[in-house]
Amino acid sequence: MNILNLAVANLFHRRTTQRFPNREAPAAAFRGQVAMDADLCVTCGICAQVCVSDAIQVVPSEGSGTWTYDPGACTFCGSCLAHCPVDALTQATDRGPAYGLSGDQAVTIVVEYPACRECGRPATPFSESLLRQALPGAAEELRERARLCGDCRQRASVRAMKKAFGGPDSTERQDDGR
Amino acid sequence: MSTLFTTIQLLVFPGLLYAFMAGFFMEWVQRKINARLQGRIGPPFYQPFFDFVKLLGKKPIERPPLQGFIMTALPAVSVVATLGAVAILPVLSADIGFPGDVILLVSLIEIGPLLAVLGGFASRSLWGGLGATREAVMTAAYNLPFLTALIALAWNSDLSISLLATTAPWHVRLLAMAAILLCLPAKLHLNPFSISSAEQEIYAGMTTEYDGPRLALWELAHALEWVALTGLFALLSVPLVGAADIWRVLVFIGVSLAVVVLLSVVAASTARLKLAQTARWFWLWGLLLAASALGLSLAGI
Amino acid sequence: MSIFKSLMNTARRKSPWVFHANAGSCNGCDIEFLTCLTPRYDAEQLGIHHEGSPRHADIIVVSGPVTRTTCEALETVYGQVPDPKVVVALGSCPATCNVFAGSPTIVGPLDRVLPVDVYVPGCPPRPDAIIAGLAEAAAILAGDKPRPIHGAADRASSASDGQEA
Repeated sequence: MNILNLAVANLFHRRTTQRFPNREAPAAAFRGQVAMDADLCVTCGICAQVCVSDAIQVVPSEGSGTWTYDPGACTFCGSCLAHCPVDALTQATDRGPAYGLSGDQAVTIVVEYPACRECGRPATPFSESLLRQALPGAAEELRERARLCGDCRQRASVRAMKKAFGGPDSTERQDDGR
Repeated sequence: MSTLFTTIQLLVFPGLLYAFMAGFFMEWVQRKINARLQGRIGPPFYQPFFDFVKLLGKKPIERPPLQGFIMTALPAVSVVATLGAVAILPVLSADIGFPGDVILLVSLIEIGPLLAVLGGFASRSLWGGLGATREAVMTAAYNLPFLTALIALAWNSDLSISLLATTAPWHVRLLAMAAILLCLPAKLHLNPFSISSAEQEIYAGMTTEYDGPRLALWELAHALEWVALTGLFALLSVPLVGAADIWRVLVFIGVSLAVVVLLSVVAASTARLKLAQTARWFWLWGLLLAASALGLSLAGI
Repeated sequence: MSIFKSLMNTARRKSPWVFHANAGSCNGCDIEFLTCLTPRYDAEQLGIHHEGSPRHADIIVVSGPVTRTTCEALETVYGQVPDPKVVVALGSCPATCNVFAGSPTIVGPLDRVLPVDVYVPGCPPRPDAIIAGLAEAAAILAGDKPRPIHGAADRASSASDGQEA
């Protein structure tokens, strides 16, 4: 009479039922809501590109980039985490509470672009980890160059090339107003 | 004095007040035991009462006039009939019983399933019809041993419930009570004979189209059936001749609850039998028990 | 008759009966919903009862992005649930269509078809999150929390809730 053994055992064993509203915390490896560290993000947009459900949007603009995430559209697959080159994304160990209005829980983070060291215009945020991954033995000069805006970096690279090939007066800047 | 006493019996115990409270309580006991044996916690004790109140507060769906009237009248009559069955149980003293009251009691108890079958068809729903058909077959199945057992008990008495328990010899009573106990899960739609209210399989069976207050009345009728049937079993199984009223009440309530616990344990531990299996079970084993009781009673042993 | 009203509100909070409708779900959310009824999570401790008939239910739980073939059936079932009722969107599919957004066979997020009151996020949501969402729905039924404004799909029944005695 296996069922009777089971039933009697259920009667006398300590119950494993979770009493509402107490809940056991999910496992440490649980894939929950995505959180973004604004200090690390470089607004490359790779997370938005690999997101299977368009839950993440990255919209760059003049002086900043906007990262929006709607957990209501997220499928918690972790693709964005896996593809982020700077490891700015983490997943919480929970999925967020029930809410009433669609889009209520959307998160918007604005990543401000720092000013370029030379010209002062907004430049893509610098990422130490990206630099280390791309150029492991980076000299101090490369790190400085990485903090410039695109145009200034291009000019600095050209200057460095000219200097390397020993051209005439290679430290002069072009004075065509750029 | 006697009229006042009778009125108190009809309104308080075992009448209106006791019937409602005991009905909700017994339903809760069944759900709680089911949960505990399954390793769950189960609902808190006030659950059936709040279920009933909530159902009363639902806005009823519009129905065509005649169908709406029938769909309201059927559960209402079922509640009244089962309440009457509970009220005429002679627990406290022999005053309330009269010769032939076992026939009245049985007919009031039988009205419930009959109206449930009619209700299933009246709702003009496929699932209601399915549930009603199953209930009709089950009624034909379990009524045979049930009524045979009652006849066996009543053979030597003048059809008064209070005398039924005392006049029948103990072996007849044992067999007849076993047959009646076998029929109780079927009457209450419990496993293993719950085929007519197979949850999810036929959506909700006979009550599929009922909502709000009408459904509340069906649930109330079901709760009252618990009280009536377990109370009948308690009265017939324990003869209390000349005992003081307080003992009669305690034994009545105690045996009723013991039957509820037994039925709940059986319901939690068994699976649902198919309709053909159910019919065979009653017409073979149930009839065997009841027929042997009747045979012994007829032979005067 | 405020004592009757508070009794009715308590009854609605303590006895939420649920009907589950699958509007094209992948069944992940359906499996997690069924898990709510198992001993570990035990939704019945809150009085939640999984009903077989929409006519018996107060809460209709919908999973899945609403596909073209299920749209009409969903509207019919919604009409069969008697007032007062609450719609719970289970998972991210009824909230935003998740990965199916833009598909030609999907009618759209659930709020294009029914007025949704509670969204339970997750893909699939954990059973304890589902139970928390159902408790929230029961609170809306009892009048503890206001129903979210639905805009064009606002129903007259939300006005009649407070007057049921």
